[in-house]
Amino acid sequence: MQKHEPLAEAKLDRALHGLDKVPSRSPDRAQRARADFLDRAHLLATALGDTRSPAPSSDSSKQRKGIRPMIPAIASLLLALGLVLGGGGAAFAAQDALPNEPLYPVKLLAEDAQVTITTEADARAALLLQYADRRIAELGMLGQAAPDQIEPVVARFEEQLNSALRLAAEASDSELALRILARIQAQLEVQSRVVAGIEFAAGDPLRIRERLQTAVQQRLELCRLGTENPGSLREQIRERDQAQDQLRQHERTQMPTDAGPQPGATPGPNATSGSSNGPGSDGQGGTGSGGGASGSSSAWGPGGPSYGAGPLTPTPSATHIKKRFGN
Amino acid sequence: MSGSEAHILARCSAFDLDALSAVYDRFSPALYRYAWRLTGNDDLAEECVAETFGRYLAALRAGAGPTQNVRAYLYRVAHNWIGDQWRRTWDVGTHEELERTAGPANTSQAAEKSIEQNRVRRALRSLTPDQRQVIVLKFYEGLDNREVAQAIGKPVGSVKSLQHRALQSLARALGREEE
Repeated sequence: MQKHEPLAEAKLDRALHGLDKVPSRSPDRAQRARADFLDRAHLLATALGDTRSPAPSSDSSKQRKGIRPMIPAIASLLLALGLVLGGGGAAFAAQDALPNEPLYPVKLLAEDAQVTITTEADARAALLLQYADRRIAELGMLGQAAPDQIEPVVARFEEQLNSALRLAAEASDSELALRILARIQAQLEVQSRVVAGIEFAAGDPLRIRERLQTAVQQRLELCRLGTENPGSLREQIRERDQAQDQLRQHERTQMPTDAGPQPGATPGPNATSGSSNGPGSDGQGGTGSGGGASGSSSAWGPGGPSYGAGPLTPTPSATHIKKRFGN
Repeated sequence: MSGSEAHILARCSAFDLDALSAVYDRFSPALYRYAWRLTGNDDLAEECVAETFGRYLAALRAGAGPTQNVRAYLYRVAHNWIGDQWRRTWDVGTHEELERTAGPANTSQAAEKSIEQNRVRRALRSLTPDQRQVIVLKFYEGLDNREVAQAIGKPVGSVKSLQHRALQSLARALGREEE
């Protein structure tokens, strides 16, 4: 067997120093890698059910002035549900639930309740954005799933963004409106990067990505519009809400009731309700229609009557969610 | 970041983005250098950094992750990732890489340097994982024996003997290549 002479110490030292110099890293790639890391961290924090959400307002003066919306029926319902399911344990256990899991409706109801009891508009917007983040995280973690499991998640994502924008449009003063819009815009920019980088395994990944990106970009446009001209934003939202209400009204008149259609029957007083799913006239509550939305459009955007690459689904109400996801 | 490291790492566990940014900014450049030295490839070095921090996030998500000496932890993760890559197929210093790193203006000199670097990488690759990590962390990253010991999870005495054996092995491996 051939014996090799070991390298002399000086030569070894020189050889090792050959790796001293490392070519400089591309600043662009380094920046992108950093952004990816932070987006991923943000997403994971959201997926974990980050409890560092803004606390409900402690501004009792507003409550005394009667600005605090009445806690709607859904909150009572949720309370009852919580008790039936074993108090906060079920909600806690549901925090990480995915749309194809039995506890997912509980997670959504817990979100709705949290939005309902958060009275300050700024905090409420932050909460809605945080929950919208969760929807993206859920889509990323869903794995293989049927389209009917994806659509409600996307619709709820859109609704939660809409609700946050509505809070800006209906803010009591322009400073608050701008603050909310800035928050939404910043979050949308993060969401845009997250959506671009996330790997969707569920359904048609390209279509989901396109749909989410469209939703994000259109709302970014609305943020810019609202920042320049708050009146235009309000008008856009009002128009879209009206269009959506009409659509709902139309759907309700077309849809048979649970008891089955009665030929010739006159619709009851609830059958034509297009505006009864909000808690009051301020339009900021409306958790009864899911996502903390005010029960209106998932279809308003700056450019047309509808947006997104896929079919638009009305806001998944508690009933809808139950139907779609089971109990 | 030693003084407040425990505090920063606790904030990282709570997914505080400012704390995570601080850790990333502090260690990602060194991890990149570390990975590049062992792989000689920009893409793999970037991938190594991304994977290392990705695994760190996954550990935090699972309620794990380091509560102290995150540098040692990150180096260990990066080292394991590179070891995994080596176990899968990738050949140190492919022709494509050589052509890519050798600039057109100085081809022969750059090529010669690249060949020499790959020779050292092959020699490093011939070491045991612990020996290799000791050499890279001590000689290139400037860690002291105690820090290296934390990174490889062994006592300081073992680091010294690993270093001694590693240098002997390297001298043999490089001597063999010279002949």
